[in-house]
Amino acid sequence: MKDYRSKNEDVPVRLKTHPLTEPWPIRLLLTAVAFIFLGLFLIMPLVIVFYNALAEGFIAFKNVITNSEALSSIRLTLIVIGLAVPMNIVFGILAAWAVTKFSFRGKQILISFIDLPLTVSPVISGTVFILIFGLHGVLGEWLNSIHVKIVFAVPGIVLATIFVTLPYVARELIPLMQAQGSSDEEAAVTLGASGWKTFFKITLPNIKWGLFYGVILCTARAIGEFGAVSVVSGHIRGKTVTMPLEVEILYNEYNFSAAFSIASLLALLSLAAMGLKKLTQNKTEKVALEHEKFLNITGV
Amino acid sequence: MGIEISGVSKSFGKFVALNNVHLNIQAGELIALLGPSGSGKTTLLRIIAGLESADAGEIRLFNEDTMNKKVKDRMVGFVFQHYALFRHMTVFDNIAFGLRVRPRRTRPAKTEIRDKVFSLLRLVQLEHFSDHYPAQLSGGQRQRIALARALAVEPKVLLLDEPFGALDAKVRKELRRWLRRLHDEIHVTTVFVTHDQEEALEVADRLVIMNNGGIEQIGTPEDVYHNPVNPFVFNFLGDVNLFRCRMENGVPQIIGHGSEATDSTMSVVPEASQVYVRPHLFDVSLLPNGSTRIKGTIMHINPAGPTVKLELVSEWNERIDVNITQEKYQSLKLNTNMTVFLKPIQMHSFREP
Amino acid sequence: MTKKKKKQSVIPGFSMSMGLTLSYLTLIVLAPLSMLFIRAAGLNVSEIKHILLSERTLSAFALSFGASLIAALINCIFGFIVAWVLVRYTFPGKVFFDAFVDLPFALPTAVAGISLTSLYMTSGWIGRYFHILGIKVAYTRIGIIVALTFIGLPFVVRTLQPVLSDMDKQAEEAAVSLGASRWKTFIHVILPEISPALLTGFALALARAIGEYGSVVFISGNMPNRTEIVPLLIMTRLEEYDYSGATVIAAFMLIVSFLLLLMINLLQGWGQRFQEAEKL
Repeated sequence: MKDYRSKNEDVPVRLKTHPLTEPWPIRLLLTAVAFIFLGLFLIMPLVIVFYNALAEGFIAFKNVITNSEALSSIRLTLIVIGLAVPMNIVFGILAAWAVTKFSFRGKQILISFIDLPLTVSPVISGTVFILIFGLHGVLGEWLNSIHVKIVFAVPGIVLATIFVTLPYVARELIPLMQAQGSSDEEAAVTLGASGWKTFFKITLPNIKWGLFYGVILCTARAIGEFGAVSVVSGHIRGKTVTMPLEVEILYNEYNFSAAFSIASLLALLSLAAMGLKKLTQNKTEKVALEHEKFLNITGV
Repeated sequence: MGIEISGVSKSFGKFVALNNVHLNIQAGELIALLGPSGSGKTTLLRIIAGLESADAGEIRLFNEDTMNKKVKDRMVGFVFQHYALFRHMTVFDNIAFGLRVRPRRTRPAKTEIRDKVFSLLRLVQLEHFSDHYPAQLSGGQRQRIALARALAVEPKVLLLDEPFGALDAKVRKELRRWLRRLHDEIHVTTVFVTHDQEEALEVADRLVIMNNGGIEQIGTPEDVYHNPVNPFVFNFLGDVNLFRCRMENGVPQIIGHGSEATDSTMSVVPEASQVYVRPHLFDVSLLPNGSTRIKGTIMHINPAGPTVKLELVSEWNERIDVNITQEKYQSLKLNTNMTVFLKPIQMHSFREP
Repeated sequence: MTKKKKKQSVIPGFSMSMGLTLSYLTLIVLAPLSMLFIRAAGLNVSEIKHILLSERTLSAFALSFGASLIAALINCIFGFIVAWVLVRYTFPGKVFFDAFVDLPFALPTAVAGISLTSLYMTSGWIGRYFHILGIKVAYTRIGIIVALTFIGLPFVVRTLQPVLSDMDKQAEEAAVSLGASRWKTFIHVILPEISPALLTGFALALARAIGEYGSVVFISGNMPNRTEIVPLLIMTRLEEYDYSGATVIAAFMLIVSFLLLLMINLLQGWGQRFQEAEKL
């Protein structure tokens, strides 16, 4: 072994590269490519949001986010998530209960229907509500005659948001509850617990982290929804403008730093959502595998 | 010399998997690495293959140093416990893989590859399965394909990692006999890892018994079975009963029973304080017989199988396992709660460290 | 079998949960979407033809599908490298980078749109270097591809990661022991193993990109016939109160994306044929 070393002073004596990995130059290259790609496409866009938001100083930033139009857009966004998210939580739980606790024909079709909004362009999601509730829509004249406004008003924005965010809670819960099975509930029911009691005492504690995770995703999407809301909003400043729409309006008015100031608030919210996601991920790790299988089957 | 292993050590973090292992394997030999899990046998096999690198020591394959040789240039065939067949390739493509990935100048012609694959399929008796995907085969068939795939590259050394570990008992038995016959036919230097002593004793030319990252004993099956060098080997190769004893004039007196087995074959070291007796090496009688005084009560009888297994408790509350023949069981008319007397036919003891 | 089991289930609430699920789904999703087709069916064929075959519509479709396809392919390559590096290598800050991959899921599309635009316009942090090379990114088709790549990135990475980390290392070891180089092992063993997941990721990124609006509308420049994507065209038609135009284009786009997804699903089933056999 000693003479071996002296013979090959310039080559490493032991294999430096494990047989199942690449030589180090390739590793370095791949890592560098990944870094540059993530840097150009993820990190830089995030950095520039905050940079542009504070480009004119903190006072300017504060003025932008406290003016009446900005505040009204924040208020509208809160109203929208306050209505859309709870509706979809209730729907998600009901749908997951129906899909996972019982067997019936056409279950797969039902699951793909629940996922449908994910594959529909947000603009189309908005369009269908115009076709129904718009002035030239099916119900348009009737709504006009009773002086109810749905599109180009808050109800339309809420409806479009519900449509777009409908799948998020359900698709978190379905794989989770599938993996957990129904033996716990069956045990509870045979022991005499009522349906509601079984749900609150047995099911809910089992799914709480998955539910929380789904709510985060649903809320994040509801806050940020742009395409569908943009179609039905009518862009009436101070009335039907949500935060993303306010960003658009300010940007189109060439008021860049103001647009980025609102955008930075949205970016902060999405960072918080990502942080919460990371935190709850460990809690839901147990079913992660099942979940990923589900993802591969149903998409998204 | 086929494989020379000298001073090989390997640790994974704090866990020492191999500690200064030396082993020489002759060309054409069929060697079993036998040991409990965690004994380092698989690590040693993987180091020979180059799938793992040793922290110290060297491995020479056919007098060539391997330290700077990549796995792909070592000319070793490796067979995995879970087959590791390429599931997106047919049986044919699996076997042909090693030939097809060769650089152009050493790659055989298409017809040559085809002939080679079919001759290997004949060898493993699966000629009609060339178009199947691995998922369509049984476990035993998959392992034979894995073996054919490893043999396709004409390795100088064939390494098998618990090759039959994932198969059920009957298929295992069939396959290990088949492996023995195959080896007699092709004579490639073969090392296989197993934790099944029966398998090792039946198949191997020589056994290497490993424990805690070191080698306990090397020898032919007959040798290690009849002349184990220490209690670990003795224990590992079969069930044993342990008795504390005292030596009187070179004759072990089992404490509490005073049994002396003067007429039995013994390999007992003078200063031993413990003796080991295999369950089938007891003479069982209903009445005290000569100086034999191990007295036990039968707690449980399992008459199913080639031998009858008795579970006894001695008067000092020691548990004793005894195996007797069906004939003996019939003639003694044994029942639970009966008291019987045992005379060890053969006792083993070892120098204590 | 299904009917029997339903009767056997002791858990209550089937009719309630099922009834509410179906009603909600119908009211919010199915009925509104079918509106699109009902409305489109009410038009006569020549009208539909006129809308779909106009130059503006055709070039919007060509752009939407072409740019989405290119973006999804870029994501396949770089998404694969990112997933590989995140799963197989260790380096400082790995957890941080891993978490960041989700950013396009979480960041509102409008925010992504304006920040990508300000980065890639000719005076932007990145755009100025492209400008030196004579390449204009923002307000061109390249800009659209950039935005769609951003949107699709997590789909490829997140579908590949679990597959890469669960992958049987032994198959790779078998390949090396049979004499395959690292490159050949990758091409013949690793790639076929991950290709179904890669295809899924591709399909998801593609589907998302085709419908994307928010991030593209800022960076694209929105020139009819040149940088106008289909969702924007639908939007324009709605703003012109041309509901027929919007309906036909939307319905057609929906059908085409469904067909695309169906095709990819079939392709996937074919790609996994060697696994299906295991279930038999």
